Amino acid sequence: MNDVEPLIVSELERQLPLPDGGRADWSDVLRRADFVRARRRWRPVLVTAVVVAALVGVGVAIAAGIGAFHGIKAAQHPRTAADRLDPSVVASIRRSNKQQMRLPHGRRGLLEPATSRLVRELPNGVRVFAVAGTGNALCVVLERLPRLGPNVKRGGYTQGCTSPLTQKVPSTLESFRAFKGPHGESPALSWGITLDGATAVSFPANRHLIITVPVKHNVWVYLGKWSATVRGFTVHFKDGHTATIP
Amino acid sequence: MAETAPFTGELEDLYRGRYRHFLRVATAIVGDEASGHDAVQDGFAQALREQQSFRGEGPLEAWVWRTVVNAALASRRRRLARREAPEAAGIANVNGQAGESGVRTWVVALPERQRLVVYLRYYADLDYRSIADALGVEVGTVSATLSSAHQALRRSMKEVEQ
Repeated sequence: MNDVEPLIVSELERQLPLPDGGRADWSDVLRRADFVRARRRWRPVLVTAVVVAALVGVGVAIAAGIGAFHGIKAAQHPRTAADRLDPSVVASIRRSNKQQMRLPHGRRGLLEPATSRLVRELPNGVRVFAVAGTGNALCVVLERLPRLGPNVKRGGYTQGCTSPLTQKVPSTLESFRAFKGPHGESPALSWGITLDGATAVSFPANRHLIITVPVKHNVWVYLGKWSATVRGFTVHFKDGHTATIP
Repeated sequence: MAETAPFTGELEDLYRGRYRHFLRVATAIVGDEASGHDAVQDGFAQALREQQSFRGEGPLEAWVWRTVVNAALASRRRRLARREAPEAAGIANVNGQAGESGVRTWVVALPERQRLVVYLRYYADLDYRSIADALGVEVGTVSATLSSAHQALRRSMKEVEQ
């Protein structure tokens, strides 16, 4: 502290003491963000989701998942203990579900952890899951993440939802960089799930460099300096054809 | 391609853990606690709606501070337009107090950006990097702005002593 800072601190404190938190109201924030109204609008979907969850025991949820997992062989298998997400991740998803996940096309709904399928486990321990969301949304959950930057704890998870894959859009694409500033940046993590038959994805890093990432068990993951973006993102198939995301 | 709400839990944790500091800064900007609370609520609501645009290029908290500060500044501008707030409310009118301390005079006399830096530094206890992210300026600008503000206070105190 310099010579004037103690004076500033004490005088500002006197002028405006730290208020009490009595006004704090998170539900009001949700209302203002339109999250709560959206939940009301989706009540029929909520009921449907509850029914689907109740029928997991008789295998109906598997059928519900197949729509979202159409064309993803690594995700189309009977659910076993290995397909379960970590309990802390499930708890976090359920908490987020109360506020409604944001799904494709501006819709909101639920991400159903009971449909999770482990599609690939990376050598560094990261586990990649396909999970069905409301309206057959395809959600991808990565858990047991390494420490990706100063504001991301080791062991965290991330999730993203999109429409079911098609020949026109044969891969999901997510990217995350924990930190970027004038004096440095964290590496970017990019990942996705592809349709069967995809062998690699590629994306331009700059004018002179194309990054190519192999696909294994329908999953590609890239951790490095460059961040994958939709522009120029191309999926390569074993029969030689490619699909560039429109 | 994908649409998610990846930071809802973190935003809720931040709100619950730091609400009082957000309220304090927003109140200092807007001029009264009720309007400050409104600005905090609106700022967090906007952060919730637009969380997809947070690319992790700095701490999440600094990004939220930016939305809350902008909400408070917008609220203040609306009040000024309706002539409900004095030109430079700052903290001078927060409690309707009419103290005459050098610091009070100093804060009120500061340009808007310097006032914001002072509030974020001393009311929110943010480091220079976070203040820079919150205000969309370079760290060096924050340092220089605070230094200028301190100089102004020293001058102001000398004038009071004379």
